[in-house]
Amino acid sequence: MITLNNLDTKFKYEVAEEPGGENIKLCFACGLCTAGCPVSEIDPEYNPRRIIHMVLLGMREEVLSSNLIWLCSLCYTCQAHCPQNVNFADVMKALRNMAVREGYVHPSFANRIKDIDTFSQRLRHQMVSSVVDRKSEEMELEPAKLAEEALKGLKTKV
Amino acid sequence: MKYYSYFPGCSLEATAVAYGLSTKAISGPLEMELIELEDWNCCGSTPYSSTEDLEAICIAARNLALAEKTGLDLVTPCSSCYCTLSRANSQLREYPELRDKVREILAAAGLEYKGQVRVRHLAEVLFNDIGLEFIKSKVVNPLSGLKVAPYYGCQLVRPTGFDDPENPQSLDLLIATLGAEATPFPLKSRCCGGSLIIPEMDLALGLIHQLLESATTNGAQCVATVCPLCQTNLDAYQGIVNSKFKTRYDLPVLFFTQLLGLALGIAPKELGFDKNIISAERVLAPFTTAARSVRET
Repeated sequence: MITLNNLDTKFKYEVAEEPGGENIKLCFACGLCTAGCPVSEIDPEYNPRRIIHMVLLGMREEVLSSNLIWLCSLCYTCQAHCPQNVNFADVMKALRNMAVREGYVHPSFANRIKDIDTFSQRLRHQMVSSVVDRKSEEMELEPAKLAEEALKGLKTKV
Repeated sequence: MKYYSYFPGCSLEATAVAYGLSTKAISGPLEMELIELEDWNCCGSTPYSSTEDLEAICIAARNLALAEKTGLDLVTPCSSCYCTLSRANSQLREYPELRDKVREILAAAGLEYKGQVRVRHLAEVLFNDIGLEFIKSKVVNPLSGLKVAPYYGCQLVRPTGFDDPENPQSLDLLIATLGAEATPFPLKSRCCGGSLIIPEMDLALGLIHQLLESATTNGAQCVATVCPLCQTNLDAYQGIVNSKFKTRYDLPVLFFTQLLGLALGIAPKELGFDKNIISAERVLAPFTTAARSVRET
């Protein structure tokens, strides 16, 4: 249930002030963003139109604390489809930045995101060297196992 | 000879070693001089920009400032670097407040960025500057009969791309120039999941599965990609997709520069084919033998 008193009418203006966020107010909810979204196709819970609508309504708390804003793969398909030039990928980056800045995500979560960057480089090195160095031994490559190490704790819902 | 400032990006030092090798190998025959940007750093890619956008833009801006000194276009083979550097470049032009902040931060490091650099993707440079006619004139080992799925991914064509965001054609034409056949590939500019493969593996595996299915059902013998992330996801995770979806894909995922190099008669070992996880040996056998004999004669 949406309670009017809990809505933050300034929220959309704050998002619009972030670089790339300005056109969010032009959204007329046609849903082309969601129709073309590859992530929505796999996980229908993720719905760009709904997220934009929640921002426009002022549902600050719900949007910034939601795990869904972290599912966008930044493929820009929505942006290519949007008849109103809403830069949804930039809006998404703005929302993530706001969520981190305003403490909606636990600081350790933000730190872990930074760790992913470092870790993914190490994973890449390991994957290449394990293939290149031991290809002849028919070693089975298991990136999932390598990834598990860094994912310990990463999935903690915040 | 055409001169460019060259930004390899982190991936080309790690998962995409083959991309770096093959890019260097083709630059000579195609009369491009790629001068590596001195002291470049990470482009400031996805995870960083999601948590601290200003810092990510500063990191990109440092590269742009270094590139500006060379007076050359900044060329990168990595779609993610291309997208990140282009985005920073255009945001610095469009948002004066952001520009002022970044200017101050760069000044602390003794750098200045005036906003003059053109950021370009290698595929676009090959298509627009080098040209298909010229490339065709250099093909000595045509890849006749090879069926290749042209995979553009997201960031070459969106949001700042040079080709159509949904039905791009440049890579199709390039593949045809090499004598190979570009197969229909409806998902040619669809997302591979990118870095979601680390925190949201199931989601990304679903996306990879769709791509492999689309490529194989349309008769492709291999995939040609322009992006290190796409290559890693489709190549390294193909085995996991097979066990999760009970499929039997065995589809080599190559960098387009590797195929280009092969057609130019460059020896396979200089193109890093041994670094691809799904071996391309079988599908490329007719052409690798030819490349050797072309080279020897």
